[in-house]
Amino acid sequence: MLVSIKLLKMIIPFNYTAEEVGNKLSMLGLEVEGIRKVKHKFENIITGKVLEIQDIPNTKLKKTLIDTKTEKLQIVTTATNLKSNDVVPVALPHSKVANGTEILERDFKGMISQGMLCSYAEIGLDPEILSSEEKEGIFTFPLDTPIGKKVEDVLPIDDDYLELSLLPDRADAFYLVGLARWIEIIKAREEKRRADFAQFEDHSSINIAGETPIPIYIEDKTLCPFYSGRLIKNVTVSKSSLSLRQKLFMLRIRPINNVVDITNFVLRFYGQPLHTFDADTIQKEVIIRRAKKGERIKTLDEVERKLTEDNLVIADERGPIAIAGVMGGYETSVTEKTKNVFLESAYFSPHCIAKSARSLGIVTDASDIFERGADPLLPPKGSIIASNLISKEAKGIPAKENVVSFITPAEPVNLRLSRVEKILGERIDKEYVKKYFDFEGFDYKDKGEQLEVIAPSFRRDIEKEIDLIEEIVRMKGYNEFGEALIVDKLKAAKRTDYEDFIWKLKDKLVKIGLDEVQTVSLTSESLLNLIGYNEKDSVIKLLNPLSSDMSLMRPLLLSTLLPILERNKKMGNTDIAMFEIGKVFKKEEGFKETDELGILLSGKRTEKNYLKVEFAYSFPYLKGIFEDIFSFCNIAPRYVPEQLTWMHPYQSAGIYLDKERIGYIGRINDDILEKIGVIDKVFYGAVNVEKLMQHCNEKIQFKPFSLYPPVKRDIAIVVDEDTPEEDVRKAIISAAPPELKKIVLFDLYKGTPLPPNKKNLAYSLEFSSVHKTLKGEDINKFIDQLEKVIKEKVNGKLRKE
Amino acid sequence: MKDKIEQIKMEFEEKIKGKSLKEIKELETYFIGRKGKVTELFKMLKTLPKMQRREFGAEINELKQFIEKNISEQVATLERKEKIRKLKEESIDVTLPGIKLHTGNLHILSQTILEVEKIFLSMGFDVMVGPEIEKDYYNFEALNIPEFHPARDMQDTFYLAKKILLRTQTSPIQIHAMEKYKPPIRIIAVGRCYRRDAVDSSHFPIFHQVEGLVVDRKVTFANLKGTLAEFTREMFGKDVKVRFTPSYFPFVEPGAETSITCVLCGGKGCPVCKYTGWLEMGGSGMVHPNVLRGVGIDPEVYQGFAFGWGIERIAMIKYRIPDIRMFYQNDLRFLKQFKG
Ligand SMILES: [Zn+2]
Repeated sequence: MLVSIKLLKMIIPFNYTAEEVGNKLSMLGLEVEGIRKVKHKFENIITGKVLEIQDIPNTKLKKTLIDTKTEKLQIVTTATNLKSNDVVPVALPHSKVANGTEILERDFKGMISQGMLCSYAEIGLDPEILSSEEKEGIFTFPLDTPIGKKVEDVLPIDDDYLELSLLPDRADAFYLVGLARWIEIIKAREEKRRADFAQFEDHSSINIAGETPIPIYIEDKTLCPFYSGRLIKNVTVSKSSLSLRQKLFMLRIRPINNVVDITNFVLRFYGQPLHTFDADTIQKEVIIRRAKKGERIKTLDEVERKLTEDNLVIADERGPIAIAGVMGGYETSVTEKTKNVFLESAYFSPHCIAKSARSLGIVTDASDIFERGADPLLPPKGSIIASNLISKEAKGIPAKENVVSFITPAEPVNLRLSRVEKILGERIDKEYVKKYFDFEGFDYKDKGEQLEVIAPSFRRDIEKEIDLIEEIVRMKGYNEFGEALIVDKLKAAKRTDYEDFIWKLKDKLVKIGLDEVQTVSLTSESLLNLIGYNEKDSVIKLLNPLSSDMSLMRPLLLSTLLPILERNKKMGNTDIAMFEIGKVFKKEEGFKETDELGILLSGKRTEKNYLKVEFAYSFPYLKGIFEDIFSFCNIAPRYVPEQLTWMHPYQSAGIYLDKERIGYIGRINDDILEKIGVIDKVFYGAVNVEKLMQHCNEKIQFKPFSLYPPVKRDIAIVVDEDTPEEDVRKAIISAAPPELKKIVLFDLYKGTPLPPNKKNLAYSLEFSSVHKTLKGEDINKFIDQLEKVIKEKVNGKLRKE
Repeated sequence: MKDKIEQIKMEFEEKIKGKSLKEIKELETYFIGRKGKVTELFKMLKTLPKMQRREFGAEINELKQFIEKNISEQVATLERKEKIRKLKEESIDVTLPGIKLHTGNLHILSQTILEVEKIFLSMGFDVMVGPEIEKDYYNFEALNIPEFHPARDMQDTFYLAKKILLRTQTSPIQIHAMEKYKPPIRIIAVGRCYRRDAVDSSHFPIFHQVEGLVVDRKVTFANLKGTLAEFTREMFGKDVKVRFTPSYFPFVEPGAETSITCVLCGGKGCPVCKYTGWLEMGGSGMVHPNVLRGVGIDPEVYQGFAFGWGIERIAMIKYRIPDIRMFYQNDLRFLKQFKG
């Protein structure tokens, strides 16, 4: 919201600079984000009146005669919107327009033009705040604009604006008088006196003639506690006068016609939303009621809207003629042809208007104020102010208003001084509290240990004791309170077990040498398609996504890790070893979120080096990492070959804990990588973190180890090529004595001199005993047995070495 | 005989000069080997008269010892030299670069969260978590933001279904905490939040917050200020101060926006702090009585404070990270800068 300092100063004098006002308001909770300084950029452009217009034959040009008070100028223009008596901006010879171009006397094929008539752009006006008429062709001023005046003196262009960003509780500052009251509070606080809000009151009386013949009925007084309707007869709807146009300019209101301009002005200046109907279009009566389901109305913006019981409407005999507090109806709106106006000034329930506006998806200045809480005592004054302006600007004659009011006097709010101390941690002397309330113009009664407080009717944020305590803090100053640390019984603070586990796991993964990444938890249809994810029905969709690339909740980490892989490879970061622990989401008994761990490897563990030593990431390396983690978590899952759409069909495995699949591991399908421009092999594994945690809390206890030197023995076993290595290993272990402490596969060989379809597995076995030094003979017996076991269990042949 | 001894000695002294290890071994044999010259002298000794035998015997012995000593010294010297030569052959260029394995780091957000948690744990705050998918009730209604409340416009929300949304703040964890535990409550909760904000250098639809909540009989506004001041000093340095400005969050009252001294300019004013000298960190305030009443805590008996600060904001300020998008791009050249 932009607030003109010039206009503000017209109703409250102050000596602060714009920046100072900005700071002071911000420190009271009315955030000023910046100051916009506007200065006119043209030179020597004055107002002039069009006396004559003549077409120049055989051209699109027109010759005009312009009265600038001191002289009459012949000016040639191409504009088609001019009429005699229009007041227009005239750039005199040797003037400058807003973009810096100098205007000189010009010769149009023998026709001298003594200057130029200007459009809005040539005087640098903001089109946002101009009427459509003003933006067309040559800019025209109100008809009562004096001629021969500098344009910058006629339109208040040069001004500083406060860029105000108001929070929803500051309904009392959404309009100029309201903001002026806050400046008065600032002054009162600095001068240590009571705020004087009376200076902003409009005390003008009204000359009325006759009655308003339209009766008013309110169906639900909680939704509309006050409604006033007044007939204003014989209005002339036209352009607003210069003095009103100037105020509209400073309030940044786009002009429409004098009657509508006045209602907008009263709203933005005094804070009272109003509505004007063409009185002759209202059938018989005005009823304020909930809309009936299925009712329709064409609103001012010419949109046909379906109403529901959430909407409060102003209706006549035939049906809705306005959506109360939100927007008027098209059929009953004031137009150039309107003769008699019905002026509405009302107070509606904030909740009701909020619901009504939101159900229709419309936000207007009126609904903004009503839903945040307008001043319930303002409507009668608003009606008088607007009526007087309409009678002045549009020559209407106001009648006596019809009023239905259910407004009750405000209840005082009790403030206990003990409560103030209890909340703030500081005793505040009663006299100070009273002073703070004086600064804000609150009324109060001293009841000893309590104050009975009545805030002004526009302060809708004061309802309860805690609201008053906040005002004490606001007036004393948020930073004028001491700091104190909490003093309490000491107890051990901790994380949840689960969070503790996550941090330990992350630490473990980093120690292994992986980089943690954190990716967005939103993914897209196209990424899931790329992966070939086929459980589409269980994917959670956002109802209102920002963009299609973040429109789904990721069902697996891989979908958001792939873009990270792609980006890094493109940026030349070829060696990647990363993990993420993050939420994945699924539709399952409602919406389910679980933590997943994903590990992605590509490239090498070593940097390229002059020793030519390298360690490329591979399936076994990835498996080693997972085995490390599983051992850390005290679990020993199994790996079962499986085929997933996004994995290499013969290089991936499901990870099973008992019968439950808790994850998978393998190599990502090259077809997918090709599509994202990655040519290196990529290895990936993912597990459900909650499953990892189930056994992780088993306490680690010391196990004795042998103090005698171990005995080592290497063996080699030839088996069929398709025998899983795990079976061989298990067979060895099954036959081994408890002294077997370590078994390491150190060679894997296929080819000559082995027969085809055979492979050789070489193991290094390590034996030790906690009781004695083992001797070769102790092992020999086992090796002898092993030959038979291998034959029986895996149809293999033991080759002794 | 005497001449012979003298002559052998001279010969030895002459021959041993500049000999290699191998040559010295030969010399050893030549002089004191089984058929060596000195050994020969011993043999000759037998032919001499008894008197002289004794005299020359001692001299030959002396000669033998002289030769042995010289040889072993010479051998030691040569061996030492040989060793040095061999070591020298193994000499390397110590200025060659070391060869590294890639090492891992925690994401800078995790590092920041750990640091935040550490400070609050040390102040006796338990660490809680809550779900990212929330009911409208927890994210809004229970926080004194009923349906259609204008404050809902302050946070653009992603919806998954009617009344089910992605939390826009960590504040719903306040409600979970108060439902789960009886006062005294002293917790923080860190988590991922979502807002339907257009992306720019300081806005991203995903971000993290740290929420704090303390509820007890005598928890005051002064405690709120003291706690955040202490946290700020620990996180950003002892000269960094906290400033409170009045603000509006329906679930706290008095409510405040909390800022810290701009760490870039020390409060003097710079483009980052828009020349205010202060950087906004998030909201805070005293828990609204409506919120306490809503979870069945009597606001006449218990009171408390709450705050919610942005984790990305903390990290961006502390580590001078210029763009929030970098956290989620995960470029290794970004991630690896933050060792930890
Ligand atoms: Zn700064």
